[in-house]
Amino acid sequence: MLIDWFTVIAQIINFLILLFLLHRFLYQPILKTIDQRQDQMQARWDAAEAEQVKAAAAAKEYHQAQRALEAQREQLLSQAQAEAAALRHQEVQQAQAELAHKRQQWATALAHEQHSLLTDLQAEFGAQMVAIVRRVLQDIANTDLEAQTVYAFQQKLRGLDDGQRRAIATAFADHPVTVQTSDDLSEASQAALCQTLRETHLLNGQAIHFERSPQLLCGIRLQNDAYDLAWSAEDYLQALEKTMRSAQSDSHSQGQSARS
Amino acid sequence: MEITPDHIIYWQSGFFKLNATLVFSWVTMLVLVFMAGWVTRHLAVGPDRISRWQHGVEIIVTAMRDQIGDASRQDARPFLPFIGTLFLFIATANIIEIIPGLMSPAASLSTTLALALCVFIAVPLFGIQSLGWGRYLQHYIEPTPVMLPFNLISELSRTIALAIRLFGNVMSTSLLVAILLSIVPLFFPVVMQAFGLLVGVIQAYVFAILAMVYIASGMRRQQAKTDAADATVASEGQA
Repeated sequence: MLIDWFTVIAQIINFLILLFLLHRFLYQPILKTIDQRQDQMQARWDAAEAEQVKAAAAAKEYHQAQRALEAQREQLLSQAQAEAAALRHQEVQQAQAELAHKRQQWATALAHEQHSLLTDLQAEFGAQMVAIVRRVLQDIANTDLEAQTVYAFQQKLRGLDDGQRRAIATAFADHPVTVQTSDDLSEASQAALCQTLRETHLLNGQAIHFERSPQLLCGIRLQNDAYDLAWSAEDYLQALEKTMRSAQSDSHSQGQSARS
Repeated sequence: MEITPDHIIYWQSGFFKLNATLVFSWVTMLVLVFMAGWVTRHLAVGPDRISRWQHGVEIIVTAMRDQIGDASRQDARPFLPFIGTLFLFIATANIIEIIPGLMSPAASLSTTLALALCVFIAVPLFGIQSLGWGRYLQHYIEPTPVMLPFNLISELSRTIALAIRLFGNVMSTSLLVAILLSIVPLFFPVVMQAFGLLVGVIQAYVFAILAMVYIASGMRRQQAKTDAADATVASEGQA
């Protein structure tokens, strides 16, 4: 018979024993190890995911900070640019003001120098002109300048109208009169001048005092405390100075328009 | 020549006897338990410290667990000790046959019948554990109580078929090798021995999978009926 029932029962018992032993020594430890490994891997996976989330949050925070820094940089840059522009504008204005001030100073100094130059030039020119006229008169007309000056002054006095004569006579009345000339007059010239003053009724017996005044260029001045009557070449010199100033002004304005 | 190792008796005292089937079964058990104990003595959890033996055992265990899961469509953990032990015992018993002087205990109809009886007992045990006594026993009288004898015969015939299939395959392979050895003593028996190893492992796989299918089909059939009844009650309640 192929079936031995004792063997069947024994094999069932053997199988159950083997089932218990393998469960105890094989399946349980192996499955436990696999589960532990799975848990470990899951824990690592969870940790990695948590780290990934943390890293994403950190990256987001970093990007936000970067954007904030960028915005701050832009703001600072624009602020610096505005400050630089304001400072530049201020510096330019300050430089322009300083330049205008310097130009004003320069113009003032130039005007002052020009005035002094013209004054000196006028004095020098007047002196030279007087010397030239004196020499010309001496060489050509065989007469001196003072005599011609007195003669010209006499002609001026004779040319006054009645109203002017009365006004001058009234002003000179009862006061001593001083006659100033640029150079000493000869006695003939003094006498001729006194004669003319009396003929024209400008003076009526007042005392006449002659004196030399170098500032008076080629002229004669009658003065007392109340009135001053004079004729000299200074009027001509002043007209000449005016002409020179006008010519200089025209030249300056032409130079400026050419530069612009 | 002995057809079955049951007939090789080393010692006998009345009903009790010590035959080759029991001895080779113990050898198989010793090999399995010794290897299991030796491998699992120092198990490493970390993936970088696992030994090659542990790797191999883990591959075998997880492969069995996956196959059980695929066959049962359920959590494989409750079935792994039973089905896994069936597979490992039969496979190891068939593999040790290549050692000269050893025979496969699976070549004994007593062994295969014992294993089939274990499956026969395990099917209702797992069913009752899953569904309870009443709901499990109910399927024997369905669709009508008249079907009770037929259902019982079906269970018995399935167990007998399981036992005889394994016995026939293993015994026939051994017998075929023995016959070929007597006819062509050189070279060809070696090939057939290797073929016998393959057949032995395949038979172990088939036996274990069939056992799992029987257990799972009993549980699933009853579970499907229960689920359908629950769904009907729920739909009626909603209506």
